[in-house]
Amino acid sequence: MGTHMMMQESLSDTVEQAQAQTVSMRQAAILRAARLPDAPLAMPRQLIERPLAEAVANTPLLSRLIGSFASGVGRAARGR
Amino acid sequence: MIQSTSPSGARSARALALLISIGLGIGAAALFLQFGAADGYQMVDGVRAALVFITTFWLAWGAMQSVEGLISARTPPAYLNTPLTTRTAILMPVYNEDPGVVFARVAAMDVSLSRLGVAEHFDFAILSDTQKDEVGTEEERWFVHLWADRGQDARVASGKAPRFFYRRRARNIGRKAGNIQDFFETSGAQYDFALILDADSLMEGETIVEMVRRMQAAPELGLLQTLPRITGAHSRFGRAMQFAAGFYSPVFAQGQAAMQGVTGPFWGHNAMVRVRAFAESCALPELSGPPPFGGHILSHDYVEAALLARAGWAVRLDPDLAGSYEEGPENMIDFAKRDRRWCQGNLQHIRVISAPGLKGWSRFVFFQGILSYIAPLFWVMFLASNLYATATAPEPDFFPEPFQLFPVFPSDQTSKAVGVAVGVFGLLVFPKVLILLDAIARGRVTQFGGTFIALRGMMTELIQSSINAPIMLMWQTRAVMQVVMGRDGGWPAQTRGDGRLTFPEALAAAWWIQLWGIVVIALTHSFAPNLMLWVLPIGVPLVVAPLVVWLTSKPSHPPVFLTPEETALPQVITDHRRIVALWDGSFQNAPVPHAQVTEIPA
Repeated sequence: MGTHMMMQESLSDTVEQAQAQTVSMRQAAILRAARLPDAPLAMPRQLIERPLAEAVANTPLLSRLIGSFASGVGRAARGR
Repeated sequence: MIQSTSPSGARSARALALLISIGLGIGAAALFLQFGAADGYQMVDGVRAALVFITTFWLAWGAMQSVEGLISARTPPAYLNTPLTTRTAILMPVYNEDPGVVFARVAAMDVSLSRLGVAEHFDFAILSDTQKDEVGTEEERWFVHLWADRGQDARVASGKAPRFFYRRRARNIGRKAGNIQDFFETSGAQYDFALILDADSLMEGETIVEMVRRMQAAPELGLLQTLPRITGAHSRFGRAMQFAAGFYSPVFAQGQAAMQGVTGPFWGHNAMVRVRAFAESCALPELSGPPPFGGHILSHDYVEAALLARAGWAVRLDPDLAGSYEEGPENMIDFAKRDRRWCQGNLQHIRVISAPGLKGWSRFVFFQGILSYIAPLFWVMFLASNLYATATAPEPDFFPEPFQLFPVFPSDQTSKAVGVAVGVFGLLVFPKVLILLDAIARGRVTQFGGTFIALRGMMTELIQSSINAPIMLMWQTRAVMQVVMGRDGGWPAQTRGDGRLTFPEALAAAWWIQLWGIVVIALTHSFAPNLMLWVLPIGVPLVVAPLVVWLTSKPSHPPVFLTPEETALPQVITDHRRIVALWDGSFQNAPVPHAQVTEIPA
C-alpha cells in the first residue's frame, strides 16, 4: 500500500516536472520569437549644453546673463 | 484636416494673453503698493507689490489660456478616411507595474484596431524597464498569456511576423527616454510612426487610426499630442481631478493650442511621433554634473518637443482627438509624489532653457514650467512678508508736523487690498464660470449630467481645491527646497489602485504641514492679529491637513463629478475590464494557455 502511494506520488511529480518543463520551453520559445525586430536607426546625440567660450561668443548679453544664472543655480546646488 | 494656428495667429494670441496678464499684474501691484505704503513707504512694501505682480501675472496667464480656448473653439473637423499606407509601432513602456492589468490594455487596444480591420498596420512593443526580478518574471508569464490571447502562434505558424514584442532592459539607462531611444535604435527603421504610451494609457482604435491619417496627411508634422482624459478614479480627490480634467482641460488645451501653433507640447504619452523626425532630433544627452540638476533629463518630453521644433518639425496638440485615456493619482500623497518628480524635472530645465537654437516659444514653455513650480514659493513669501509688514508697521503719527493743531489721520487704503484679493479670487473662479457657461451654451454640459449636476461638480471641486491648495502649496514648497538643496527624488514607480488611505498614513505624510499651520496661526495671533481673518483660509486647511488627506482619499460616487466616461463607458475601457476579468479567471487555472483568443464582440 505504502509503496503504491509512493509510486503514485513519484509519478505525479514526474508529470508535474514534465509539464513545468514544457511550459518553460514554450515560454522561452515565445520570448525568443517576440524579440524586437532588428531594424536599427541611428539617433545622433543632440547638443543641449555648449562649451562656454562658444556660448559667450554667440549669445546676446541678456541670454548670457540668464544662462550664467541658471548654471549657477545648478553648481551651487551640486556643491552642497 | 486639422490646421494648427497660423504663425501670425499664434503670435497674436500670445501677445494678447501676455499684455493682459502683465496689465493685470501691474494693476494689482499698484493697488497693493498704495495699500502697503499708506503708512509710509518701506522696503517690504516694494517686495510685497513685486510678489503681487508675479502671482497675479501667473494666475492671469492661466485664466487667459481658458479665454483664448473659448475664443478659438470651433467645431471639430470630421475624421479622415484616407487609406493607411504606413506602419506604426505602439510602444508601452513599463516599470515595475502590474503586468496582467497593463498587458490587458495592450490586448484591448488591439481588439479595438482589429474591429476596424486595420490591425496589420500596427505592432505592439512592451518595453520593460522593470528592475524587480519577481515582477520581471511575472511580465514574461503574462506576455505569454497575451501572445496566446492575440493568436500569435497561429500567425507565426502561417509564416507571418508576430505583431507583439517584449523586451526587458537589464539596466534602465536614461529611464523612459532611454527606453524609447533603445527601441528606436533597435527597431526604428521598421516603422513610420510610433505611438508612445504610458503603462496606464488606453486609446481607442479610431483615435489611433485618425492620428496616423493626420500624420500621413502632414509630412512636416513630427509629433501629434492628444489630450488624455482621466478615467477610472474612485476617490474624492481622484474623481474631482477627473472631473476637472474632463470639464476644464479641453478648453485650456484649446487655448494652449491656439497660442503655441506648431511649437506644441509633448506630455510623454498618448502621442504619436514620426520615427525619422524623432530619431534625428531627440536623442538626449546627459547633463553635466550629478542630479538633481545634472544627469539624465527627467522631464524629457518637454525637451524632446523643443528639439523637434528646433529641427523644423511641427509639434501639434489636437484637443479634438477623443478616445485617449490615462489614470490619475487617487490621493493627495500620490499626487505629491508625482509632483515631486515633475518639480525636479521642470527645475532641471533651468539647464536646458539656454540650449542653442531653440525656438523662443520653447524657451518660454520651459520658463513657464519652472515658474509653475516656484510660484508657490512666491505665495509663501507673500504671506511671510505680510506678517512681517504688519508686525513691524510704525504706529500712526497723527501729528507729523511740530506744533500741529489738528491731527492727520492716515488714509485707509484697506479697500484696495480687498480689491486685489477679490481680483485674485476672480482670476481663479472666472475661467471656470466661463467654461460652465460655454458648456451650457454649446450643450457639452449634458455629457456631465446636465447643468445642475455640472454646477454642483464645479462648486464641490472649487471648495475641495480651495481647501487642498494650501496643503499642496506646502508640498510643492518642500519639493522646490529639496531640489534646490541638491536632493534627488529618484524614479519611484507609480502607485496604482484605489488609493484609499488610513488616518495614520495621512498623519505620517502631513503632520509637518499641520505643524506649520499651527506656527502660522500662532505667529499671526502674536504679531499681526488684525491679519487673522486673512490667514485663516490658509491656516485652517494646514492645521487639519492629515484629516483632509485622509477624507479626500475616501470613495466618491456619482452623480457628483460625473464625467462623460462614467455616463457611457468607452468601448476600449469596457474591453479592457472584460479582458482583465477573463484573464484573471483563466490565469488561475492555466498559467500558460495555448490558444485563448479574446473574442471581438460585434
